[in-house]
Amino acid sequence: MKLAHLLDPRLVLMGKEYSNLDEALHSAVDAAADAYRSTIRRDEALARVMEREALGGTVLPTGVAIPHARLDAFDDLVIVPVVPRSPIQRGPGEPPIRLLWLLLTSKVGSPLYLTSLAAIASIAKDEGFLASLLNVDTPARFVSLVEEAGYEIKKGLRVEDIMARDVVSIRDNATLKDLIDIMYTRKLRYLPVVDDTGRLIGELGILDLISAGIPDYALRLTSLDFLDELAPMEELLARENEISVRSIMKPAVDPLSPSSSVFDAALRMTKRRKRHFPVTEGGRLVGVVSSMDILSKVLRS
Amino acid sequence: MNSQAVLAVIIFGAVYLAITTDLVNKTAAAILGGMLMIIFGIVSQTKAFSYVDWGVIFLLIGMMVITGITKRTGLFQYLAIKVAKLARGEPMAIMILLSLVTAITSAFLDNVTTVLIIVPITFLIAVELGVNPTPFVIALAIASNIGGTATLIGDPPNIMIGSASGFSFMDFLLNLSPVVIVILIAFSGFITLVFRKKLKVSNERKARIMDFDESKAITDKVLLWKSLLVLGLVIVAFLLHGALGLEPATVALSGAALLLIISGYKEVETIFAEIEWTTVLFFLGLFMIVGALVDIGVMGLLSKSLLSATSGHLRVTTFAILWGSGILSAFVDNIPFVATMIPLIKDMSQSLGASAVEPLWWALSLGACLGGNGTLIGASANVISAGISAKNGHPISFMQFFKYGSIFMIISLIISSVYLLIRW
Repeated sequence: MKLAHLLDPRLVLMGKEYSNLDEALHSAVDAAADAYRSTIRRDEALARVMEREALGGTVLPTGVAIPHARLDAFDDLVIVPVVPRSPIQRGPGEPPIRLLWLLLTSKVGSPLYLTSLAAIASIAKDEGFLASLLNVDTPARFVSLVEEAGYEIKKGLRVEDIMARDVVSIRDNATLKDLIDIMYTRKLRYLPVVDDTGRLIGELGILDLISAGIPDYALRLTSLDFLDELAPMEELLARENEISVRSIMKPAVDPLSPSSSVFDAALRMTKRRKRHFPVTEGGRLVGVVSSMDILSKVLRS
Repeated sequence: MNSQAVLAVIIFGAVYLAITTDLVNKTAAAILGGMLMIIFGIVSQTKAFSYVDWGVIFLLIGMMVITGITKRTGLFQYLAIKVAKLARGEPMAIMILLSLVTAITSAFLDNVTTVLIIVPITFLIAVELGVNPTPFVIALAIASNIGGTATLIGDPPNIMIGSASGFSFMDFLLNLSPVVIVILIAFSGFITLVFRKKLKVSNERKARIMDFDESKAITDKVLLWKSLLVLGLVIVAFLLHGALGLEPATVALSGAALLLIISGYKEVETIFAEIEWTTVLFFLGLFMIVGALVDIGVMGLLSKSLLSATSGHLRVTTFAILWGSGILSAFVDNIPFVATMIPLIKDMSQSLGASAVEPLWWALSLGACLGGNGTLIGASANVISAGISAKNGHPISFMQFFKYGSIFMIISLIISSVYLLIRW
């Protein structure tokens, strides 16, 4: 999520002269309380902000102040940037305040609170960007500049973060015997199939292996109860040295890319009722992501 | 011909071209053609709709529902296994008996459904026997087209002819089944001759077939008896429909409704999904297109020129229709062709008398149905059978089918010619 998407141009205060920090804090709290009339109580917010200010340390050396407070009965995160017409002068030896960000959040802190603070701090360190931010003439431009700079406050998990990278794959010209051996000895339920250049060309699940012995015509019958054994199934076992992996593999349908979101992977697993997806980059196999990866690395990390 | 008639012929030609070349979906082409006839004012909507032969539409729907339920019982698989065991696993005998089962089934159910059920089980039997399934598939497709010729409900051309000519189910049986039986006997000889050498099987393989337990192929015994009861009632009613004064469509729809109720399917949607709506709508479109041509007088003109071309000799006309429709049906869809021929023959019957044109109807039926055997694309049953075969690793090429299909089409048309010659 981008920091800019938490900002509201109507809550970007600019062009006013402030004689001291308290005055600026008052207008910022007023603006927030006006906009969130039903959830932010002005008096409480102001009191909490002042309490925090009394502890000190909310002004960064580059002249950016980050006053903040946690409020009772408020379950949100509101950010009010204030750009004073001229820097707010403070005591001797203290840098004048050029930009102020007021953050109001819940008692326990919104999940986005700390990351927002971090993003704002990194803006404060970037003197070039800070200068251009102080130069904008409208609140809307302020927000769009932050947006263009791309400050992220939450990065979703990507497939590359959870996928298995040391993947066992099998060549398309391997035999059914090789396949069964690998699956059996390494206890695998899924194998991507690659060509000699490492390009992904297909995949095989353990069910594909078993259903290779059940031909299409058998599936068309209303019932197969009348027989106990099927020639193609026996043939499959008898000829496992000759049958190629290519002849029984499934084409790899829409592989994921390392930058796909974990949500995308979960969505495809749900839609296709498939537990494993190959991950490719430029056609080459780079990993496999399984439902178990999502369970162990996302849901119970 | 006036300009409206010319326009009607152009629309008809364009639709025919689209159907034949398969450039667009044939059902969509037929419906659009019918609508264009209305849009250009060649016929009014009321008139166009009145040309739809509801006897055909409802007979098709009724039989599709009955078949859709019956095939769930496993009856046809049971029959296939039964005859395979009856033949003691001997492949040539199995092929002949399965062809007969297919022909008889096709005489009462539609051909596509028949091959959709019988080809997969036949495939299984051939693979278990360790023989190439391709000859079996080709034989069954041809047998299905032959069997469909025998009755009023066997094949769409017959359904259309029955509805348009007023012949009863019994008329079809009396006039067509004798020749169909002769053709089936000839067919058994033909496949024995061409396929016998390819079918050698070990005793061990035969034992595999004998090991099948056909009684387990029946998936739902109660439903089977209900289906057989309704199917039996429907066939009896078909045989008597002339005497009862009931049209075949009434019989079929009544049977369908009865079976739907007693089968206990509350969710009829799954059964209605078995109705081939593309076929039904294709008919609707065609009836409107051909109806417009009749309405504007093109068909009358055509029938007069056909009669004058054969200088009024009915016998010559009969053979022209038999062979013409046979050869044409081998390459183009026989349904639009028959839909076009029907008003022609009707027109002739007005000028020559109904009894005089009777052989023309039978010639049209024999030609259109048997002609479908000529090529792989001649009949839907061929296309569907080849599709299943290809999906199971045994694609059937155009030439492979043509080698057997075209020869047997000619044999069957010769038999039909002799029959028509003797009978009329």
